[in-house]
Amino acid sequence: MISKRLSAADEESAAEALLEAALTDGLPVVVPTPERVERMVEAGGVDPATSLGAVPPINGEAVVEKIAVNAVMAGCRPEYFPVVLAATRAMLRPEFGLMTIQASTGPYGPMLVVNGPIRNELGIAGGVGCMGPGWHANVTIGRAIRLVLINIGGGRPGIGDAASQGSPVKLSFCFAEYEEMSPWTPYHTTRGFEASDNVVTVIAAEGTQALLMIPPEPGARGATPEGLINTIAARIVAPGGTAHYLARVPAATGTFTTVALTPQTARYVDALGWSRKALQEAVWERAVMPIRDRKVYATALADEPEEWELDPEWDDPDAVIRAYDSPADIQIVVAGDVHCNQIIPCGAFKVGAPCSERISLPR
Amino acid sequence: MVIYLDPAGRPAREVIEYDLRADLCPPVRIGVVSNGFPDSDRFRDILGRHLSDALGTSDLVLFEKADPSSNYSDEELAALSECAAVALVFGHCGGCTAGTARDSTVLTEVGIPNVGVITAHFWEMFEALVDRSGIVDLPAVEVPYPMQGRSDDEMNTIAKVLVPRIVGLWEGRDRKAARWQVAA
Repeated sequence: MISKRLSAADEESAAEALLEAALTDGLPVVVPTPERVERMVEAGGVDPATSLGAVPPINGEAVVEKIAVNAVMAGCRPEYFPVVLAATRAMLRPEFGLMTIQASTGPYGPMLVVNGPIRNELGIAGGVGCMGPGWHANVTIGRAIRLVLINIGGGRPGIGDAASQGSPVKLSFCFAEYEEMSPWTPYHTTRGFEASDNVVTVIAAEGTQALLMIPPEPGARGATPEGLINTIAARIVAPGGTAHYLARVPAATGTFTTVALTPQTARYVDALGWSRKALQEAVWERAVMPIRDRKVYATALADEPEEWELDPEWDDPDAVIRAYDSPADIQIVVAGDVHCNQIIPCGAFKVGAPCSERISLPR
Repeated sequence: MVIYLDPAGRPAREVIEYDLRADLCPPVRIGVVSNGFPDSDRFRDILGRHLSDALGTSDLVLFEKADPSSNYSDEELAALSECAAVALVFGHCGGCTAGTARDSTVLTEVGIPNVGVITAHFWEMFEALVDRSGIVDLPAVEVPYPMQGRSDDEMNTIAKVLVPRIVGLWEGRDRKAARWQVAA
């Protein structure tokens, strides 16, 4: 094994030593004994000396064995390890912009969405409460990623992580899409994979915002998707949000956001004839901010008034800024309780483009 | 007795020491890069003018990164390599401080003398990142926090103080990063 061996009188002392050395997320950990790490590595099916790349901001090397050490500490079962490896690969892709997500003053972290048969094999929840506590696979896989970011990437609060207030997202954020209850083809098929593929997609998120909606049954009086679409669009460009803050010039915000619909809401939209793609396009079309509103809210950047004066478009009170560059910047997944209506916009950020990786299982 | 494994990662690169020295005898081209943080472009222009005056060169190139998180493109790096020395403006938030450390590392690895400008609030973060990322004595100068929203007069005052420090670091006469010592 390549990792430095440490010793302690007993497991309790070892766990305490890891906590005191700031090598945890603040919660108790499973002590990464060589035997436990070895079992984790074997379940990944990858040479333990393999490097998946450098984890910013300190560019620690993501060697498979080191990732396994952190997965053990997080409480992962060995069979979860291929998901952890795939998620690590995904977030190390340059287009994800991990350095900024790690170091930013904002409260951003990676959100993991798992698709494919492996969801059910591992028990990765996509139903009721799937973004919250109580789901062992969800919580420990998300936590393993966080420990990788802290211990290999140096993302410790105040050092490599400057998030002013932090976020619960930075502890663990992993869930499955509820494919069986979705009216649409699985999310990962929109990213070029087959439905039978096991895939994890990593997207930057700043947390969840509940958007409570009770759409009527299709066919009932007033049953149109207009209100729903308008509400989603208004929420993802709300004043003070990232898209609103970054919208400095028309159509150039470069932000992404994710909208998680509960199955019932997704089926309601589908029953009215709206595909996932059509919903993305409609929300994108309406996710605009009147320029006059930018002058009202306190999100203006210090240099913005000058830009307004210089750019003739700013003088048009009816002009609008489009919050997202394309419909594809609004990711839509289906997750949550089957029988309830809720929509969770999962934040937005200028970096953190969705990155998907196939989950490779050992032969 | 229980044996367990260290979860901490090791730097992906070997530790190297910053030992670049710029020849600043005229004619010389110098560069100042702003990183998209609000007012970084304004301070870039002001600092560039003072550096240009101090070095007696009019060959000043002002670069603008639209986003602190982005990496230099090949074209940007090629243009920067035409400069004898470069200043990076500025580390004013978590992302842009880490970005300045990364950009400074990239320029160092390709042999371009450079100095990062870091605000006081993010100085310790910058030092911690540099300590852990494998380049010893990566040059930087500290400025007061915040820089965003300062008047041109204030920025001029700060830039004047910075110029000899930046030139000293560019030329390799000074080896250590310079903390801010003058109340602005």
